[in-house]
Formats: sequence, C-alpha cells, structure tokens
Amino acid sequence: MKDAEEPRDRGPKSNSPEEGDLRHDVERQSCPPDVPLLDWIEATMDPADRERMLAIPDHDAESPGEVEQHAKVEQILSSLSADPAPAELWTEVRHRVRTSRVSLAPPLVQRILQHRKALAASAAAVLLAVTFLFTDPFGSDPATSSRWLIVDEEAFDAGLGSEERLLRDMIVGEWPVSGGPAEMYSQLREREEQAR
Amino acid sequence: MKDDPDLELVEGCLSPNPAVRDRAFTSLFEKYKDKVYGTALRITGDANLASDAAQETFLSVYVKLRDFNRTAKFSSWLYRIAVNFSIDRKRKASKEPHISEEVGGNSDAHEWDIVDVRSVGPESLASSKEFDARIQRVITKLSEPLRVVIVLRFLQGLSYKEIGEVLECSIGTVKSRLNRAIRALEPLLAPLQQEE
Repeated sequence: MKDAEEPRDRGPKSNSPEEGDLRHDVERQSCPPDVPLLDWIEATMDPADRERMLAIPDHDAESPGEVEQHAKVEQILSSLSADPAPAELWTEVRHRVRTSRVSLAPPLVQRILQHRKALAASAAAVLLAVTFLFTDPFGSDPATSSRWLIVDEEAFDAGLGSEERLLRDMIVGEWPVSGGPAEMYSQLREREEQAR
Repeated sequence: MKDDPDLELVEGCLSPNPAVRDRAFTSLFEKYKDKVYGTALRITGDANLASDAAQETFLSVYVKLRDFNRTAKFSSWLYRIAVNFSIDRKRKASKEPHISEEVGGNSDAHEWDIVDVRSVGPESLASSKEFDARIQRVITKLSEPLRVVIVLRFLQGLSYKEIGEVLECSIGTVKSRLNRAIRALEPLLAPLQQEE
C-alpha cells in the first residue's frame, strides 16, 4: 500500500472549519481552509513522530499469523468505550447548575477560570459559556433556562470576579458581537471598563 | 449530501425563528456532544483539553453552520472540526506549563462521575475503567495521524469512506494509516492481550 503515490480524493474545501478563522491571530495553529486536514497534521507534526511513523512497515501482504494478530488488536480497540465519562459529566454539569441557582457559572467554566488567566484562556471560558447559552443545557423550563442568572442577579454579582462578570454579561445579554472570541472578550472588557 | 440524516436539523439551525434554531441546535448538540467529547478526549488524552476542544467545536459549528456546503455529511464536517481543535489544543498544551489530567487520571471528569455502581458493581467498574485507561495510554503513544484514524475508526465506528471525508484523503490512505497504526499498537498492546 503506497499511499504517497495515490491521487488524493479531496473532500469539499469550503467545508473547512477554519473559514473566517474564529480565533484570528490570537492562537492560530489550526489547519488552514485550503489544506486537507491529514496533509496538515502530517506536515506539521513533530519530525521525530513522523520518522517513527514512517519506520513502521506498511504493506498489504500479511501472513496468517499477522492477520490473527491484527484481529486481536482490533478486538481490543473495539472494546474501548466511546467516551469514558462524558455522558455522566454532562449530566452532572446540568444537575449542578440546576440545583445551585447562585453558583457563579457552570462548573466547567469555573474550572477553566481557575486554571487559565491569559486572554486566550478567558476566550476559552467565553466560548464555553456561549455554548452553554446557545445549547440551552439548563432545560426548556423558563425557571431553569439559561436566563436563570437574572433571577439571582444581585446575589450573583456579589460574588463575582471581573472575568466572571464578563461571562455573566454575556450569558444574560443577547449574542453580543459577531467576531471571534478574542474580539468578543475585548468588547466585553470594554463594557466592563465603561461600567466602572 | 442528500442522504445526510442531519440535514433537517442543519436547516433548522439556520431558521430565522430563534426558537426553531435553538431547538435544532440543541438536538445536534445532544446527538453529538459525547461523540465529540470522546474524540477529543482520545486525541488529547486529557479531560480538560477535551472539554475545551469540544466547546470550541460546538461554538465553531454554531457560528459557521451557514458555510457548511452540504456536499459532505454534517457529521464528517463536525468530526473534522473536532479533530482540528483537538490537535490544536494538544499541541498548544505541550508548549505550555500544564497540569496534566490524563484520561484515567485524577480529573474533574472522574470527580463528577456519577455512574450507578450498584448496576455494574464497583470492582468490575474499576477494572473496566482501568483497562480502558491503559489502552488510552497506549493510543496516546501513537503519532497524531495514526491516533486520529484509530479514534475515528474504533471509537466512533466510522467507515473508511467516512474517515476519508473527515480527513480529506483517499480510502487507500485511510487503510494505510490504519494498517500502520495497528502494527504500531501490536507490541504495545501485547501485555493487555495476555491479560484478557
């Protein structure tokens, strides 16, 4: 199997996720829109990794022993759970949000806020909050909807740090800006400054 | 793509009616959230990075859905974004000082794990999780291109054609990478095979 010589069956270019790049120049490392993803991964991977990968023999002719060995490996891989914890994780996130009306933000946001301080990190937190907002993970009941923060705004505000206030502004407001997270963050920061 | 089962929801996400739009996006989110998180988790090997990549993926989908040109399946487009962000996150993290929270390690994902141990038994749960975590550690040793094809094939159960759509490469290339990946995994998984 000599894939290097095969003509590539390219996918639809305009379906690239990076069109109009979300993250501008803040942390641009992703695959450009006009480059096939696998080509990009292989072209930008660690050279030592590439060398290691190419050192692995790649041929179709397999002895019965090899076929059997392949099948065993496939069997082990097939036993992997598709996701070790996420279903429970998402359920728990929802549960915590529903049952703690005055908590500052969904636990995942809190976690990110705790660990990340830089602009890019805040952008990640904003992304997270926006996703929560638009996916309405708190349920369709108005009492538990994504607007619940308004209900306890006073108590909520009292315990907020500035980054968390930015998140709150966005969560209770309308979709604030059309740009990427960096732009969104910067506009929210501006509003924060004006409010002081 | 006419036979794309998600096309109706995609159209719903583009509806001028906010209620329809939000409902459709929530449905897509519900359908794919665990698959996206699982993919990100297996590629990054870290629960926090996987959460970030999953959130970025869904935000990107929300913002750029209008650009999705429907010549490929929605799920292929989604996986492409997820893989892209996962690789991106992992590479960034490897360049930054980082508190590792490997899959199977001491992460919030596990703190939040609310699996009902009465239904599966604590011992078998622990054992299956440990086994899973050990396979994950082995997969993490693969180079990025090989890891990605393994995750898409065995974790998400995509066909060669679908993997080709996600990575924008030929079926031959997919087969070749899988072949290499399995060969690379054989010696690493040997101890696990003996335990089985």
